[in-house]
Amino acid sequence: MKNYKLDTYAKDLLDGLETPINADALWDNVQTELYPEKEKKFGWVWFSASSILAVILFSGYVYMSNTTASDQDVRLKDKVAQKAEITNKKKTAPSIVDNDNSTETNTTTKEGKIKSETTTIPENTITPKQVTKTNVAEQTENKIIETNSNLPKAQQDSKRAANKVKRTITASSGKEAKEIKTEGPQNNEANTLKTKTDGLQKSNAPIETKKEIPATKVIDDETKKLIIAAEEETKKNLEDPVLDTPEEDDGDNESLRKFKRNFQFGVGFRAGISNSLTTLSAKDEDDMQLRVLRSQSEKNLETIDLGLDVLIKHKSGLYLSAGLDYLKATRKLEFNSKVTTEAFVPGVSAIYVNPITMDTIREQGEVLQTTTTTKTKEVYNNLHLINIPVNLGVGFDYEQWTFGVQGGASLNVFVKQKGQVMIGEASFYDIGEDGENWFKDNLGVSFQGAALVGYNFTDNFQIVGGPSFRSPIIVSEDANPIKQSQVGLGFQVNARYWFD
Amino acid sequence: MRYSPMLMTISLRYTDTKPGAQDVLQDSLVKIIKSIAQYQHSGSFTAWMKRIVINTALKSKSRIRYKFEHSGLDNAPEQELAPEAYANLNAAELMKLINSLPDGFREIFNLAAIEGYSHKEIGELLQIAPSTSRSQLARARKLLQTKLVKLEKMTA
Repeated sequence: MKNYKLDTYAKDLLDGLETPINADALWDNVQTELYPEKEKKFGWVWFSASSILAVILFSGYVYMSNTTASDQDVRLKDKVAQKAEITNKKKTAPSIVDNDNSTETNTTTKEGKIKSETTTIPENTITPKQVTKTNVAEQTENKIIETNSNLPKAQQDSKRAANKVKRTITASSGKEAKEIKTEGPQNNEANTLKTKTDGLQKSNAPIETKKEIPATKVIDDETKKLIIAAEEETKKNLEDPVLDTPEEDDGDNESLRKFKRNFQFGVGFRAGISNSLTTLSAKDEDDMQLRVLRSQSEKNLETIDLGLDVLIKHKSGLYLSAGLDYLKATRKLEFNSKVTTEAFVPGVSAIYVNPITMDTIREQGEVLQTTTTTKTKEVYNNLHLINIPVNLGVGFDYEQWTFGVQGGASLNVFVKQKGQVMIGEASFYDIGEDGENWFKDNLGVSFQGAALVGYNFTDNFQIVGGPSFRSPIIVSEDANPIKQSQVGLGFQVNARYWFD
Repeated sequence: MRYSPMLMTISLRYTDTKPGAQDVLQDSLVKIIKSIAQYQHSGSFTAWMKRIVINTALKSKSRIRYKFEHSGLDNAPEQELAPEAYANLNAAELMKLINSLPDGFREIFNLAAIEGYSHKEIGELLQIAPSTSRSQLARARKLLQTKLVKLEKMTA
C-alpha cells in the first residue's frame, strides 16, 4: 500500500502544477491556426488585384506615351502634305517631271532644325533633273529630320506651298559645296521646286549629295491658311483610303521606329537564396497528431532559385519580364529515438570493505541493468520546382546607379519531391515513391516581389540585387492530410543585358 | 489563457520534449476553441480541457496501439518504500523521474495516479483491456519504486 501513498504524493505534487509559457506567442500561433483560410484568401485577393492594376496602368501608360501630341502632329502634317499633293494633282496638268531617274526628296521635319540628307545615285546614271521637294511641316527645336526618298512621282510638291516657300539650300557634293537658290514661282507645271545641281548631270561615279539645310524658312500667312484648311480637311477624311493607302509602308516603318525609340529588349540571369518558411497545417482534426509529428521532426534549410528572363523596357523605366525559374527548397528530417529498458540481472550487488584488514566481501544478488537503444535518422527532403515568372518592374537611374522594385506572379508548372517524412513513431513515408499519392502536385500561381539596387557597368549591362519575397507555394494539398506551403524571404541578384 | 500553464504541465507529462509539448498544447487549444460549443456543463470545464490535452498528446504519438512495456521486474520482490524515499523530491524531480519511465508505463501511471482515471477509462482511451491497464500500472509502480530506491542510495 505504500506505493499508493506514492501515487497520492505524486498527484498532490503534480496535479494542477503550472509551467510558465509564453502566452502571447502561443495565442498568436493558435490564432494563425484558427484563421488560416481567411489570411490566405486576403493574400490572393490582394495580390491578384495589385497585379491586374499594375498591368492596366502599364498598358495605359504605354498607350498614352505612343499617342503624344507631337506624334499626332507629325502624323497629321504628313497627311496634310499628302492631301495637298493629291488635291494639286487633280487640279493641274500631268507633271513634266515624269522621269524615272529623278530623285525626289520628301523632307518631313519633326520639331527639327538640322537636315542631313544623303542621296545616292546609281553608277552610270545620268541625272537629267533632280527635283527636291520640301514639305515644311513644323519647325521648333533641334531634332531629327526624317527623310524619305524614292517616293512615287505623283507625289509632288504643292504648287501653292512651293510658290510661297523661299529658301536657300546649301548643298555639298563631294568636295564642292554648291549653293542652290530656289525662288518661286518656278516654271514648273507640276508645281515642284527644281533644284539645279551643276556637276551632277553627267556623273559616272556614285554621287553622294550631302545637303545642310539651315533651319531657315519662310511661311507666309496664306500658306499657313492653306495648311490649316488642308489639315481640317484631312481630319475629316482620315479614313479616306486614298490617304491611307500610300502610307501603309511608311506606317509600318514608322511604327517600328517608334517602337525602337520607346522600347528596349534585354535578357537577364537571376540567382537567389532564401529561407523557405514552411507551414504545415492539418486539414482535419484527426490529422493534427501527424502535423505535430512532422513539425517536430522536420526543419527548414535554405532555398535556392535560378532563373532566366527576357525583358522589355519602356524608356520611362517600366519593364516587363518573363522567363523560366528553377527553385529548390530543402528540409531536413531528424529523428532521434532513445529507448531505455531496465532489468534486474544476477551480479554483485554490494562490496563491503573491512577497514582494518582491507578484505572485501562481495555480496551476490540482483543488480539493475539499464539498456539504452538509440535510433537516429537524417534525411534531406528536396522540393524541386519549375516556375514561369512574369514580373512588372520599374527602375530609375542616378548616375551609374539604378534603383527599382519589381513584382509579379509565377505559374508553377512542375514539382518533384524527394525524401521522407514521419508518419508515426519510427515510421517513415517516402515522398519520392509517394505510393498513396500524398504529394500529388497541386500547383497554381504564386507571387513574388523584390526591391532592387544595382550598378550600370555599361550602357547595356547592369547588375541589380536586393531583398525578395515569395508568397506561399502550395505543394501538397489534395491527397495529403497535411497541407504544406512554402513562403520565401531572401535575397536575389540579377545580371541584365539590354540590347540597343 | 489562464489555463495554459496548467495545461502545459499536462502536455509535458505526455510528450518527450518541450517543443513537442508546446505543439500539443497549441493543437489542444485550437480543438478546445473549435469545440467549445460541444462542451456540456455536466462536468468540470478544467477536466474537459485536460481530457482534450491528454487525447491530443496521446494521438500525437501516431501509433496504432498502446505500447506494452516490460520492465524485467515482474519477478522481483516488492520492496518496502519509506515515505522518506520520495518526500524530499520536489515537483520537477518527481516529474523527471516519472518521465524517465518507458512511454507505456509513464502514460498509465500519469493517467491512473495523477489524472485519476479509472482502469476502464484508461482502457477506452488506450484501447486496451482494463486488466492490462491494471497490470501495466503495477509494473510501472514497481519500476518507479526501483528508481526511487536507486536514487535514495545515490543521495544517501
